[in-house]
Amino acid sequence: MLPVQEPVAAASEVPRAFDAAIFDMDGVVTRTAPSHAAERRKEGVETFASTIALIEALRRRGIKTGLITSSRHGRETVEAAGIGRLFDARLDGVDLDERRPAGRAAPDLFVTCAEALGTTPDRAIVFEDALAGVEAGRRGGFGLVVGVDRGGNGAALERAGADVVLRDLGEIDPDQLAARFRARQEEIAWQVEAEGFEAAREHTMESLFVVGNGYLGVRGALDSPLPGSRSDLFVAGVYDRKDEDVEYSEIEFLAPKRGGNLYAQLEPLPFPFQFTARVEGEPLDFAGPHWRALRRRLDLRLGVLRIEARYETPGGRRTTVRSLRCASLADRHLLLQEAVVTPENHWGAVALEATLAEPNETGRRPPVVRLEHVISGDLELIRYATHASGFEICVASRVAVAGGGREPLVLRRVLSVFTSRDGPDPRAAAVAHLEKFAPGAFDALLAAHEGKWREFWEGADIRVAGSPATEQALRFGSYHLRIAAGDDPRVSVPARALSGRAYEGHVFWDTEVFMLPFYLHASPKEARNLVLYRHRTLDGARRRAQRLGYRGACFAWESTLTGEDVTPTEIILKSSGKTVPVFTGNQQVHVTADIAYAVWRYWEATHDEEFLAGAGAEILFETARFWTSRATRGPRHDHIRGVVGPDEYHHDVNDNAYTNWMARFNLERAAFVAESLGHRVQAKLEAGEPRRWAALAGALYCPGPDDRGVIEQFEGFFALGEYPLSGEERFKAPISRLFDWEKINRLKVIKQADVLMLPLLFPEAFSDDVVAANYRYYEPLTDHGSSLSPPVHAAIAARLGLREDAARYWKRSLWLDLSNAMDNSALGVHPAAMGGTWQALVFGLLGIRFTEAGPQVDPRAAARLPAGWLSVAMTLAWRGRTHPVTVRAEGAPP
Amino acid sequence: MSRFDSILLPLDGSPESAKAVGCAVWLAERLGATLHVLYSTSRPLPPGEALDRLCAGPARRARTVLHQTRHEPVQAALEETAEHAVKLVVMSARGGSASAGVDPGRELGRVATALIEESAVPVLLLPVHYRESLPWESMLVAASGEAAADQALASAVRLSAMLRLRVSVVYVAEAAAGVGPLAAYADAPQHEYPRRLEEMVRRAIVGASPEECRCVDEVRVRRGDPATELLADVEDRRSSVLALGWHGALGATRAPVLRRLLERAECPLLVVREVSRSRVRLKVGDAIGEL
Repeated sequence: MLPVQEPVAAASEVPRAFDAAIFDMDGVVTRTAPSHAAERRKEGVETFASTIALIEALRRRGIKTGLITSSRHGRETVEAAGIGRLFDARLDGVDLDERRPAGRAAPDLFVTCAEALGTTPDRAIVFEDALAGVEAGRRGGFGLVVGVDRGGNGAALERAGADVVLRDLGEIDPDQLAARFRARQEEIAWQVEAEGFEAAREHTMESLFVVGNGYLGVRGALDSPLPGSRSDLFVAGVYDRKDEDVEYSEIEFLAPKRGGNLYAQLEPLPFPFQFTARVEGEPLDFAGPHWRALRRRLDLRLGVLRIEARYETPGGRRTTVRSLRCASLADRHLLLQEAVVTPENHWGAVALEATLAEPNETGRRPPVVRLEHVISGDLELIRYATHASGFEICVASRVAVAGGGREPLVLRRVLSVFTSRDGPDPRAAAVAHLEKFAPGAFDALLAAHEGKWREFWEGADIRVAGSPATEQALRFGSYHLRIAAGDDPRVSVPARALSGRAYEGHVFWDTEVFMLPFYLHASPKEARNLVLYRHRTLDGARRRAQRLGYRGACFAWESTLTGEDVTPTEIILKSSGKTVPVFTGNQQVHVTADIAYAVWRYWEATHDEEFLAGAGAEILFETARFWTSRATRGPRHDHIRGVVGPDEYHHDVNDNAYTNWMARFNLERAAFVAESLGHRVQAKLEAGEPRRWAALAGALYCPGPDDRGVIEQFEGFFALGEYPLSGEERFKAPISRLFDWEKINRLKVIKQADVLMLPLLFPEAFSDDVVAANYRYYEPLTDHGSSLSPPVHAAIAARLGLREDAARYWKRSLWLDLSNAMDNSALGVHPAAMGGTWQALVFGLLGIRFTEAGPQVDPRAAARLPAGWLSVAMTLAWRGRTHPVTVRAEGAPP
Repeated sequence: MSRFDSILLPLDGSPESAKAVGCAVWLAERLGATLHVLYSTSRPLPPGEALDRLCAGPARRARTVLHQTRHEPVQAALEETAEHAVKLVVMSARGGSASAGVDPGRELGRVATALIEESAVPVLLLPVHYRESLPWESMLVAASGEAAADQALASAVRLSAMLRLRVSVVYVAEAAAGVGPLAAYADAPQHEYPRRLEEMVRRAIVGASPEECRCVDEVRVRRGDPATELLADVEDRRSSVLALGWHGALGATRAPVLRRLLERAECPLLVVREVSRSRVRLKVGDAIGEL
């Protein structure tokens, strides 16, 4: 390493967009230097005056500058050119050799130079004229890569990853560079990109890069999926009988068949986006030996997944395959796909073939029944049937191929998906749907889709100035929440949405308690369908209550199409065959009150009177009837016995605080609606019911704070055995806990927020002192075996001003899937954690409460924002209007 | 992802290095591969004599290519590997220096060290106590959940499918439970590891064909010191070859498991160095880095 210059003293007063600029020497700073030292000394080295001027201008603004060259004569060239004073750090081929560990590749020059300048690549700009250098800059994660096109290779520089291509650096000044840098940051925060390929992480990537629109979801498998890919298509509502070989919630769990229930499992269907490209007969895929690079980029703003793969086939033929796919948000039955095959250095024969037939269909678990596969001209059609539930699924596509020869080969495919849930003849519907589109409609269809995504973001985007990474992760969550919910009130959002097989597509309390607030305030159209789904399953809930010996409606803990409960009664540990009983199906009855709570929240947020007087009242009344029969009379109070609360480690407990509070709220709201809507709902009521509900609400035992301020989670919790919970045991999938269920039932260790749910859902009901006492008591006992736990803790910690705890829990939740924190994202993403993260920000960090006037921000919010955030800005929907909300951090510039 | 159609056998003329000939010839015949024999010696042999030493039949000779060089053997081997698209290197762990009795306690010679550190293709090492046992019938693969082990597993499965070998996979849980990729299941490993391991295996060979996947007929856990348990497993199951991945640097205190295997194993070791290209970098802000 050459000596580092003294730091530049004169710093700009304007906040800097970036910290450093790193220049490749040959071709950017200097014209190619003579290779012999004597010639260099004799002839000198010519520099580009415009580059020198830019470097000087940057340094005047306090930007650190670095110079790199792989030449071993770098020092001499710098000396001959007289440019040493312009750089804070310089690296050449000699330095590189010195840093090369024995037997290993040399470190990346740009990254090493950034380190020498005391910054990180994401805060630095790279200037390069060589394709390899541009690729290195992109690979290194630099904030901006500027390609310098000295000889008509601008397009190649762009393809290699240059964000900006200039013919000469005189075309840009520091202000323009800063603007470009910021624009690039903005772009990065609108996309999630994975570079590289790792077979063992492929299932996780497939979950993260799902495209969907609520009607369907397609996992983000490669265009030519690997033989072991989980390249599933899920169509909301297409359930079938349970296949016992499909994992339940964890890789290690199997759940046995659910009797004769025909709708126990969301059916994974074959991948619709498959195509194969070949060069001289050699397949371009990632199962073979020819792949060289892979980049998968999910454009969150436009709901489009782009995949770029590079291959090298025998003879050194290099070929790039770029593809685009989306599930239209403008037309729920429509999928779009484009593939472009570009031979980079050859004219070998290129072939491109798209197919709807999955190569390994016979090995698919669970298997599907293929009824028909037809190819006729540019139309291809495939039709499946589920095994037991009687659904038919038809996927049809039209393909147009253009180019070839010396031009890139372009394939454009328009696909249509219909099922027998859409109408009696999905085949005819799919064909007719495709026929609507004129040849060449692809661009218009894509534009319509993108337009819908732009509309969505107008209401859902959250801007976090100062933290693009946070913005990006929030958008990732909002993206997945959006593609999870559709316009069909017959279905709701499963625990892993339409992104994976875990939980078999079952709908839990997750939707009402964790996700619904996002939809209410960011995408209200979807919210109504979600609450109507519960009304659609009300008959099933009634039957369930009756079967259990109760009145009214008892909603399923795990629900699919009919409202019948599909919770397994036991889980089989794959390895040992040992069974673990599952108590939640019969005992986690709080879901019934959670749904009533959601009805009320929906009405509060929308004032949808028609809904409240109709479906809403019916749900509230039937659930209230359930509680009147479920509660038992004691000497002083009524009690709810034999339940499981949100903390699933304890079963058969009495008077779970959360359950009883929620049931009381359910009874109160039912009585209130019955009284206030009067004759409009009279026909739905039996004589005296509102009075009885109100009376039970008053008599129901709801554990309150003790003298320490702590609410007992359930009767006898305080007397349970102590359990020393180590740090290592936290945040893990709770397999061992479930395995030791009998022992754990007697100990003070809890899976997830239980009592702490109450101040999240009823913030006004508890003083800060009581909330603090409960946080101090329960937080150390919680192992966060559920992804639902961290966001609740983040929200509560934020309310209490525990900034470190709040940030820690919130970040864990925010990046849960992107970091595969629970090691189970391969089975699908966690939409409830995404919804919980959103709530922790809005109701926790910002402390927003809704009044008649709209959202009101807690005055303490500015002091609660995590370090580095300058401001948060969003809009929140409330009663038919959208309300802008902005919170600036204390001391942040306006 | 190769089809093992090109094998390199580096020799230095010593009896120790010649231990690899039988195995290399057998592999080349079973795989239908071209065998590139690289003699690095200051005294080249007449080509006919060099080929005679391979004891290969006439059919094999037709697909054997002899390269003799006076160049530095590591560089020569790496160049031959690149030039002939070699997919597998077969060699003794030690060569001339062992035959000459130099440093008898050493488990790995200079050339073998450099090749396993720098070769991008798997290296089949025949350790100092190697006892030839052909034909192979089964392969044991050491799983750990790390990228290198995944890559070793993928290579091992491909090779085994071509050789029609049974593959068993073993994960050695060290005595201190709660470390490594199975940490989430630390409380009850005896009950929960095996199927978890199956998933680990499935993920590692996600690119393998169904036929290749069918080679894997057992996945199991052992507890204890990794090298000891792997060798005991080889013994128990009479595995013909042991495959393992490694990070690629043999510093003074690094790769202790590989070193101990080289000291004590009597079967060939298929050593697969982690190739860095196969990492996924998820660009989601500085809080995440690599997955």
